[in-house]
Amino acid sequence: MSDIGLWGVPLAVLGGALRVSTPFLFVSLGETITERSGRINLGLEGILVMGAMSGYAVSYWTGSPWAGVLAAGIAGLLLGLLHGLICNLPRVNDIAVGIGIMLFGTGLAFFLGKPFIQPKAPSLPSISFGDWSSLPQLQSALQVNPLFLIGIALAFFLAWAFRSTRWGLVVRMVGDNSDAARAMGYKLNVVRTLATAAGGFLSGIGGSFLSLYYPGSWSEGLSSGQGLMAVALVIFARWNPVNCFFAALLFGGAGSLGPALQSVGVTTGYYLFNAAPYLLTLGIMIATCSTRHALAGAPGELSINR
Amino acid sequence: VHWGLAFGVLFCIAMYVLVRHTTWGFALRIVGGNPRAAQLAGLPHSRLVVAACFLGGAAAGLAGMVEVAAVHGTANASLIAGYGYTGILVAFIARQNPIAIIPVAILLGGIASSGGMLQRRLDLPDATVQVLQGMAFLMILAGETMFGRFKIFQPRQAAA
Repeated sequence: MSDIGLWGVPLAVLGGALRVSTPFLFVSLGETITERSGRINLGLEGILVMGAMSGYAVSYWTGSPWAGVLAAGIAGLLLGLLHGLICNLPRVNDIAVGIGIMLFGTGLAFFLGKPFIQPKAPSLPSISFGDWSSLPQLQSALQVNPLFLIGIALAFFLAWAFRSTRWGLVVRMVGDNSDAARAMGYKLNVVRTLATAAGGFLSGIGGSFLSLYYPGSWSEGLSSGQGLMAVALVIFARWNPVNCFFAALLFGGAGSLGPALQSVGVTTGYYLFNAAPYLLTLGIMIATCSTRHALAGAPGELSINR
Repeated sequence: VHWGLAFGVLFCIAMYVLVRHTTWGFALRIVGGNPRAAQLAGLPHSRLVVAACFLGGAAAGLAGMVEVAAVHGTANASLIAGYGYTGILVAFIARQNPIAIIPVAILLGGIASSGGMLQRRLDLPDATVQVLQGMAFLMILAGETMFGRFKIFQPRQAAA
C-alpha cells in the first residue's frame, strides 16, 4: 500500500506547497501592506533572517515556540520601523535603504545568532489533517502548521480590511494618490511608517516559521533569498492579499517539484527543476505585462511607477 | 591584485565616457530623468532602457567571469556571496557616477576581504564586519537627506 509509484509526485508537490509556502505567504502579505501604502521594502529578506534567528533564540530560552513567534514578529517590527523612519527623511531612496536593511538584518542575525547554531529549540507543533487516509505519504503531506492556517486567515482578513475598513482605505489612498491623502489631512509619513512596520512584523513571523518548523533549525544559509522572491510574488499577485496566498502556494509547489521527481527516480535535470518556480514566475510576469500601462492594481505612488 | 581590477577600472572609465560624453549617453540620461520629455523629443524609450539593461547585465556577467577565472579558479555553489546586492548599493553610494564607483567599490571590497583577518586579530565575533557594513550603508543612505541642505553639498551644476 505504501508504494504508489508516480502518484507520489503530485502528493509530494502538494505537501511541499503546504510546507514551504508559509514564509512566502507571510512575507508577501507584509510586503503587500507596505507597497499598498506606497513604499517598497526590499529589506524583508534581512527581516526574515532576523526573525528566524530571534524566534529560535527566544524559543530556546523560554521553551515556548509561540513566544519565539512573537519575538520574531517584534524583531521584524523594529527593523521595519527602522526602514520606515529612514525613508521618512526627504530624498532618501526606499529601494536603496531596503537593500541596506537586507544586508544589515542578515549581518545582525549572523552576529547575534552564532551561539544558537548548535542547541535545539522546541519547534512548533503541527496539525494533522491526513488521519482519514491510510497512505503514509498523504498523511505526511497533510501535516499542516498552525502558522499556515493563520496565514490563510490573515490573507482573507487583509483583503477584507483593505476593501472595507477605514484603515485600509487610508493606506490605499496614501499609496495611490499622496496629494489626495494630504488634502484629506492624513500624515503620509506616519501611515507609511506604520505600514512598513506592520509588514516587518509579518515577515518576522514568516522567518520564525523557517527556524521553528521547516527546516526547523537556525543556520546561516536558512533563507536563501526567500524574502526577495516573496517581494516578487507581491507583484505577481497584483498587490492582492488573497492572490498572495495562491502565488505562495504555486511557488512552494513548483519549488518542491524537483525533490518530488527525484524521490521517484527521475534525477535528470534536478537543478533545472529547482529553477522551476523562478521560470514560472518569469513566464507569468512576461505573459501578463504590457508596455502601454502600469500593471493593473499597482499602487500609484510606488517609486517604480512614478 | 589580479586582472579583474584592471577590467573593472577600464569598464568604469568606458561607462563614464559613454554616459557623460556621448549623444547616446545623453539620450539615456534624458530617458532616466524625464521619460515624458524623452518621448516628446522622439527618443526610442524602450530601446534605450533595454540596451542599458544589456550593458548592466554584461557588467555583472564580467564580474562573475572574473570571480571564477581569477579568484576561485573553479565554478561552484559557494560563488554566491551577495556581491550582486552589495553592488546595487555601491551604485547608489557612488550616486550613479561610474568614476566614483571605483573608490567606493575598492573601499567596500577592502572592508569585506580584510574582515576575516580583522575579526581574528581583534577577537571579534563572526559577522561583525557584516553588521558594520550594514550600519555604514544605512547611515550613508540616510545621509542623502543632507544633500543640498548645506552649502558644501550644493551641486555645482544643475543636473543634466
